Formats: sequence, C-alpha cells, structure tokens
Amino acid sequence: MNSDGQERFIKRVRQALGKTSPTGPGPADPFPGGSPDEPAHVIETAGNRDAKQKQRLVECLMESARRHDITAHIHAGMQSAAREMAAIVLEQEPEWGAEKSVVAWRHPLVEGLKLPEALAPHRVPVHFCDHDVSSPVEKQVFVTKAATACVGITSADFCLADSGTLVLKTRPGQALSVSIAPSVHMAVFAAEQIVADLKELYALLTCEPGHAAEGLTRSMTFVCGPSKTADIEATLIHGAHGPREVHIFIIRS
Amino acid sequence: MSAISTEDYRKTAQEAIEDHVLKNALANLQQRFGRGAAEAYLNLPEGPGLRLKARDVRMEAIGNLDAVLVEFAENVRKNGGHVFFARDAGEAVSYCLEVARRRNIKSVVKGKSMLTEEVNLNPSLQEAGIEVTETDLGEYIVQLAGERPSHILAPAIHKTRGDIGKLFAEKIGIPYTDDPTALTIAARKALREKFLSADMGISGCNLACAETGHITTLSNEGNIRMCATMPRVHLAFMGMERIAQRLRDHDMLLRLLTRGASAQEMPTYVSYVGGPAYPWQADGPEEFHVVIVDNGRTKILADEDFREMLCCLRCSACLNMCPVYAQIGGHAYGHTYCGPVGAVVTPLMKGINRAKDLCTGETLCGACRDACPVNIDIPRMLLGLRAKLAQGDPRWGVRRADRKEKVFYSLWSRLVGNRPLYDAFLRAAAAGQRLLPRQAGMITRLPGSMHGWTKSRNIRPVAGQSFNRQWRRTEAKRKG
Ligand code: SF4
Repeated sequence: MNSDGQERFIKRVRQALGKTSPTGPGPADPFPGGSPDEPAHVIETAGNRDAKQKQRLVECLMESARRHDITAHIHAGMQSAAREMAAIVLEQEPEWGAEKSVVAWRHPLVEGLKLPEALAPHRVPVHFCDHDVSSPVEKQVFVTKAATACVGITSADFCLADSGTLVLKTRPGQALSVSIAPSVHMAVFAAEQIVADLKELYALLTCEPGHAAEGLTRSMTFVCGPSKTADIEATLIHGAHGPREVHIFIIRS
Repeated sequence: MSAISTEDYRKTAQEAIEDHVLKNALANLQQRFGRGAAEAYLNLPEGPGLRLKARDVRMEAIGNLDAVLVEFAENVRKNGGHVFFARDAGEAVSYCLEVARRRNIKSVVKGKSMLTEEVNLNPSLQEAGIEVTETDLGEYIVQLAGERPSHILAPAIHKTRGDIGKLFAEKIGIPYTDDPTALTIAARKALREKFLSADMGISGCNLACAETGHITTLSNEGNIRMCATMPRVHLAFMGMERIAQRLRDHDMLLRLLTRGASAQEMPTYVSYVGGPAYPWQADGPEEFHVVIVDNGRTKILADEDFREMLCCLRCSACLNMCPVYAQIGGHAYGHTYCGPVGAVVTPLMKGINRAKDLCTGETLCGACRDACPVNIDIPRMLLGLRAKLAQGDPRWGVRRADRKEKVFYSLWSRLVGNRPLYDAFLRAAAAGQRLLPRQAGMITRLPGSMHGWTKSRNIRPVAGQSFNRQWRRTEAKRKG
C-alpha cells in the first residue's frame, strides 16, 4: 500500500500540526470523570422501564410520527397487522410498470405476517430478499424487483421514540434497496425495539454485547419519514427519490 | 462550474441586489431556516451550550488529525474498502478517473458534494467520455441549466418554478408546467432510470468516524442512498477535516449539523457506510472507495489563527443568517463556498488578494458565529484576513492591498493621537466642508481619493464645535 498517498499525506498533516512524533496524543475522553450520560447508565435506565414508562415511550413515538409524516399503526398481534398491511398494499396504484408487487426482507417478523398468502388471491406477488443471491446478475435481478415494487417491507433494529427514526443494519436477507426503491415503505417491529433517543441508541450500539460485537455493519441506515424535497421554491414535496409514504407497525405482545 | 470569479464580486453582487425575485427567495429561506436553527438549538436537551462542547470536540479531532485519519483508513480497509489520500484537486480527480477506467465506468450518478465542486470533478469525468448526472433535485436543475449552485443546501434557490418548468420542457421534454409536484415527479422518473443504469455512484461525506471506519451521508431526498446502493462502485470524496474521533462525538455533531442546516431534528436519511456490500448481500456496491482530500487544508491547519475554520461542517447555517448573503446570494462569492464560510475559506484556498472583496464585503455583525453549530468565530477570522490585506503577509503571499490606504491610515492615526493637531484638523474641516455638496444635511461627496467613501453613502458633516470645546465653554460659563 504505497500508492495510496497515505504516508506523505500524514507527514504533511503532522508538519502542519507542528508535531514530530508519529502518533498524536491519542483520543482523550471529552467527558472526563464520567457523567450520568455514561452508556452503561443509559442502558440500565432503558432496561428498567416499567409498564407505564414503556407506554409513554409508545405515545412519544406516535407523536413524533405525526410530526414527521409517518403513519403509525399499533397492533396487538401479527394477524391484525398483516390484515391492515395487505389492505394498504391493495389500495396502492403501481408507480413503475403495470404490475403491482411487493419486496420484503427475509426476517422472522416480516415472514410472520404471511403476506404472500394474504396477497395471492389478489395476484400481488411478494418477492423476498434471499441472501444467497450475490452474483452481479442475480443482484441486478433483485434490484430491479425492488425498484419496480410498489411496497417494500422491512423490520428495524430499533425505532427512536423522539423522532420516529427507524434504524436498519445490513444483514443476510435485509437488502438496502427494500427501504429506498419502492413507492411505499412499511416497517414492522416489536414494541420492545423502541428506544428513547439517539443517546440510548448509541449506548446500545456500542455497549450491548451483541451489537458491539457486530459493529455498525457495512451500512447502517436511519430512515425518518418519507423521502422529501423542497428544492423548487421551497415547496415541500414527498417522494423525491425514495418512498412517498412510510408506515410503521408496532407489535405489542 | 468551478471557474473562479471572485474578482467579479462587486459586479455580480450589484446585479443580485437588483434581482428582486432572488431577494424574495433568500428572505424566505432565511426566515425558515435561520430562525428555525436558533430555535432548534434552544430545544436541544443539553441546551445551546452543546455548540461549545462540539467545538472542543472538533478542535480536539483536528489537533489529532494525523492519528485520527490513520485509524479511520485502517478501519475502512479492514471492511474491504479502499482509501486514497489526495494532496490536491488533481490527485483526487485522477484517482477517481483511474477507478473509473479500471472498472470500465460509462455513467456516474452523483449525490450532492461541495468537495467535488471544489476539485472540479465533473468536467474531467465528462472529458473521459463518462456521463455524469447530479441527482439532488436542486443540483440536477442547476446542472441542466449549466449553472452553479448558489446555496450549500438549496442549490437552485435562485430559480423560480417558471424557470424550472421551462428548463424541464426544453431539456427532458415534458410539457411545460410550473407545478412543483409535477416537476418533482418528472425529475424522479428521469433520475430513476439513471440510478438503475449507472455504473458508479459518487457522493460526498457529511461526517466520518475514525472509531468505526464509517462515513456518514445525509439526505432528505434519498438520492445519496440510491447512489450508494444501486451502482457497482461507490466512491466518496471527503475533506480531510470532516472526521470525528469516536461514535459519541459523531452523535453530538450529527445532531447539531442537522439543526444548523435545516432546523431538522433528524434528516430523512442518514447512512453510515463502512465498506462495499457483503459477499452475501443482494444489493450494494462491489467496491467502496474513500478519497481523502487536502487541497490547501494543511495550509489552513498550519496557521493557528485560521485552524478553527477546519471545524466547519459545511452546514450552511451561517448563510441562513448572514445579512450580506441575504442581499447578494451565492453566486457573487465566485467559488464553491459562499456566504460567511466562503468569505473565509475561499481567500484561504484561492488567494487572499484574489478574493479580497469576499472578506471585506461581510459586515462583522456576528450573526454567523451565533448560528454556527460549532461556534466558529468567523468575524475574528474575517478581521484576521483584513489585517493581512492591510499589512501584507509573505507566509500567505499577501500583497498589501493599497499603498495609499496604508499611508492615509498611518497619517490618520498620528493625527488622532495628537489632541492639538486633531483640534486644528477639526476646525479646518469644519471650515472647509462648506465647499462640499450636501443633501438633507449630509455631505454627498468627499474630495480627492476619499471620494470612494461617499460613492455609496453620505457622510455626516463635522460639527461646528467639537464636544471638548463645547464642554470647556459651558464649564467656563458656569464658573465665570
Ligand atoms: S461556518 Fe459554521 S455555520 Fe457556517 S457552514 Fe461551517 S459549520 Fe455551518
């Protein structure tokens, strides 16, 4: 790795900083002495929420959803959620091409909805993202499916109550294009996956053993509401390049 | 595109001042975003004081930049990405062209990136026979019109819906409409095809994190996500200073950035990209490159007076508050960066003499500093630049702007430092000014080379009696 210019570049930076030693002082702690914001403390607070506090979190999420033009649905079980989802799919006009179709993550919660069965009588196919497609040709086929689909269905790792933001990591079966290419995006997750805010999220991402070991993955995406633009005379319009509608389905068990 | 026209500042600014459509659009923008940002800071759980903490975090990362960049590069490589360090615009562009050649790239989709404007990437790609499409709606409009963005966040703010309607009718062949929704849908359709057929996606990077080895891109439209997902290669341009040491610094900066930029609690899409797609992934790029660019930044880093400017997140909050930007818009600044940030960065990058009008054009009112999510003291640096222009500075290759001015000011300082001499001057001026033309009690034209002062404003005449003299007289009367 000599042709990447790194050595020469870093040398110049070091000169500009007036340093001689090859290493900097090393990252110092910007919050020395610890604070109530310490990740461990944040995680503990989050883990000890009682039923009332959890309810408040859901209410906060509903409120944020309204602010950000997200349609939020609460369901006590998968069956009723699936019924409502299917109804929304059937309402949509296909945007790209004449055929209406759905793309979906291979994810226990999404598969648990059994949408293919619900939509089969209406001849709306549901294409799942299979994680063994990896040759360029297969990729092309999948991306085309996602880009012509009317509805994309994902789950989420977390949902932030204070802004309605969905947090999606990349894993087998969880393609990126499902949440960006279709005309409508629906995400289904359990109420336990709601976290208060970014601070709680970062604490979990860095200190919760599973997430810490996994890292952010090659691509971690936040989605907060429908795609929007205000580039023409500052007029707000939904559906610039991504979905024009975002629905979240909160499952309470 | 990136032709520099800082020398035309006065002329372009004058034209903009007379453009009422532009001024309305700018007023509207400032009203919405400028005020909104200030409110958004107040609503932060930590309060607006978080800006000061964020600034410390930025300065710390910049102080450790040598180590931080190495850590970042190592982490990206661990995840299968490539990192290239470019000393200047030329190296950055050639690396990109080299990747394009090697991967047989015919078409490129781009997310908004000020840095690619700075290094003037598009013409080089086009010369190499590659089709380049800007995909941010505002940038797309500006590209179709063959113009330059006039705001960091709202590149087409200078265009009316009617302009855009005509442009789309002519360039993408839709029937004329000035309905923003119809126009947006037309662009969505045209660009969708480009996303799906493009071989390479090029983006900028709003922030990066050394601890994790990710770059972060923000967008409301979703175009950057498309650029980073659909094509087989993703290449990101990153200013060397745009990096946070650790994830929790990154969190703080991200929250401030979105509030400063557009008063949003959260942009629609935030993507943390740390490498190419996994082998099992059903979509995503096969290759991921980050080009880290210096292009004059180490020179700013080396000067302690201006190092602070590298804290900038290019959020455009300062544009949204600046009274000068409100009058003259972005094009007058003559280079990629406009508004207060441009008034400091452009002289430092392109030559202080060459861009002298930019730093003398600002008012030093301080609105930019208060708007800045990392509290950068732009007025201090504007004064620093003006001092260099007045005194000359070999280190920055600054010629003294005007010898006559220098002579005038040294005489003036001698004059005001000597009371009897100053009194004599005032008396002489009070007598002499009777010959000068007046309007409504104000002098409209000063003689000789002082005429410049009254070119665009009138000056109050010297009082018949100075305060000191009046005081002495009243005291004498009272006692006597
Ligand atoms: S100087 Fe501050 S306000 Fe202006 S663009 Fe940079 S970070 Fe934003």
